[in-house]
Amino acid sequence: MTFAMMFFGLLTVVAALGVVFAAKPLNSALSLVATLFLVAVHFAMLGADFVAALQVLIYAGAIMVLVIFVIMLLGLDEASAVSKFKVPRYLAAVFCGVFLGLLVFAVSSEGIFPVGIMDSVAGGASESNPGSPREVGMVLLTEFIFPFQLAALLLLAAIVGAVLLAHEEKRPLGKGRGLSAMQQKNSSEEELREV
Amino acid sequence: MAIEVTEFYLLLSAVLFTLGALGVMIRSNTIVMFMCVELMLNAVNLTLVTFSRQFGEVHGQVFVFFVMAVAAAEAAVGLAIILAVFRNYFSIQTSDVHDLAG
Amino acid sequence: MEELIDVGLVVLKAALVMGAVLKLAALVTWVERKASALIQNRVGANRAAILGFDLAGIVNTLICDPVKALTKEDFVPKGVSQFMHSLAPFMGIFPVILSFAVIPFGPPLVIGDRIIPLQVAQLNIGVLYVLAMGSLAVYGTVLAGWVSNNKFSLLGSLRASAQMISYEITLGLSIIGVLALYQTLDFAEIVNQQSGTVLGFLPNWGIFMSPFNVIAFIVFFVSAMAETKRAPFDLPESESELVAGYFTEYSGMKFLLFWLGEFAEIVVASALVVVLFFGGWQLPWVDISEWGWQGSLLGTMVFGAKVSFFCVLQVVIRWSVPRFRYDQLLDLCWKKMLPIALVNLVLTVAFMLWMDG
Repeated sequence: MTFAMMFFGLLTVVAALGVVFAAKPLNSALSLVATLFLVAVHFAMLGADFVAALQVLIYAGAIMVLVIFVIMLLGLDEASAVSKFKVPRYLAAVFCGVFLGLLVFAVSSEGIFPVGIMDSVAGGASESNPGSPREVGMVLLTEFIFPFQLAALLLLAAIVGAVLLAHEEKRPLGKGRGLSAMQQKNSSEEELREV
Repeated sequence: MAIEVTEFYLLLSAVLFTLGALGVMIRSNTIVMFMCVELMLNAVNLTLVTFSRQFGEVHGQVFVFFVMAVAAAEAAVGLAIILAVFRNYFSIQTSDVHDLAG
Repeated sequence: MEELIDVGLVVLKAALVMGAVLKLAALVTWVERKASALIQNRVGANRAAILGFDLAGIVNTLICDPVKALTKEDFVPKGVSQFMHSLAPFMGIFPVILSFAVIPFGPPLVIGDRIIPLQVAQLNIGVLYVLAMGSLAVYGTVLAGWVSNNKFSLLGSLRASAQMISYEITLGLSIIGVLALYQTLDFAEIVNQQSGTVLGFLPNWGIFMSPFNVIAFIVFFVSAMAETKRAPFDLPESESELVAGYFTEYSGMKFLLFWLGEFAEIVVASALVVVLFFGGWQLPWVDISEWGWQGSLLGTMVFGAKVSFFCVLQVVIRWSVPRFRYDQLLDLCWKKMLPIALVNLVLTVAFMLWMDG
């Protein structure tokens, strides 16, 4: 464990705290971008270059842009109150504390992992570099070719589903709860904010 | 050395996962809940990569690839659902969407 | 001691590359102003002069403009976060400069028994790294539009995010075929493979490696131009509709940072085109990698010349073509270039199989 790992680990936790506790959704989203980027740094330090690049490319570069796009499109950047339907805060904190304690116990205690697994390969693990695009690609497109194709199918289905869900029939202006009503609501909100 | 690194990253991902779970439980904004789910997925990815390094095998990283593919699909559909909900309720707070709550 | 020298060399290279990119970007702003003046039959920047020499407007654009921007009032609109407002321009320019870290700009320099690769970081994921940095560049734009608390800015950044996500897809897809030909993602290796000739007389550059690479080049170049958000793709800042788009509320040095980021993007796009399709630092018909330090110097100059050519080409295109309508812009990406890129990929792979017999 090097100094860099500790440093970036600490930064990651701080950024993740920002995701959970930031009042405004956009600040949450930006914290998440920072977290994802830092996780990519950890991937790179663990020798998984290809996955690190994918992490930035897919998560930080595509998914989060989409999230921020939706936040901006809907004008959702208001601090939100705690809802009555949610788990009470103290209960959630207790539950998460217990859960984290269990995980830490599991990681730090001997004998949780099957005997010998942790030690058997630990020596040579850091020597080889199985994280290059060539290595990952070879396994991905031979051993895992069927799941790979399924993932492609899943993405296609997701695209079709997303278009179906988000598509809105064009209605004449000023009728119903369509886009125009939404815009009216937004503009009145903005006037309120300016006041 | 190698064990130490592995344990450090397992602890880190445990903390990240717990934070994500906490966020899903205490936040009522659907988009923030969605982002906390992404945080949990990333904690799992970190674990997978850590074990991949520990065992000197590439399979863990292949799993990460699939997790990312599923997360991308989830983002597309999830955000479309949020958009549709907003269109009908003008809000994405979980407390406002309770037509079936009786 | 050895390690210290290695670290020092990397820092030196990083500083040199960053300086060179920013200098080149600043020079492109000068080219932009003078070339636009030429195209529109004007004189262009000619007011400022030192001892009577205006150096064809260089004094104006490279000395007076920055001084003016630095001394201007830094205006932040009411009711927005000061921190976010300052963060946006930095998030715009930082990935652009970072992406230059993996671009090789010359053959390895050999001093004594030390081999110095003329590239800040040699990564085995070089191409993916540049694409990842390109995908981060959208945040500066998006954030700027949001924190400005201004409808025009918001519209501009919404347009920008949709446009940049769309064109990233064609940007990535267009070069998959080319990368399949190179069999690597490492830029240094890609440039090394482009030495020698093909068919006896053509230089063995990426664009001549397969008959379909011309299509890949055109799709890539158009997508890269769309990523830089300049005419004919300047919908996010179209001044006749949105005042100035996402940076409407920015002034002084922050505005200049956006501008510089845009021009640095032009330089990066040109460098990518040169490395992937036009041989990087390779000189046609001559192998300069054997020439020692003279070869390194010549290679760097050749690379600079090629990059400058594509920068000027982009400026000329920017001032010759009118702006798209927004639906035309997205149609071009999703209905034309995406299918072309996919068909091109299939054709390239078929060509590879045919070559292998």
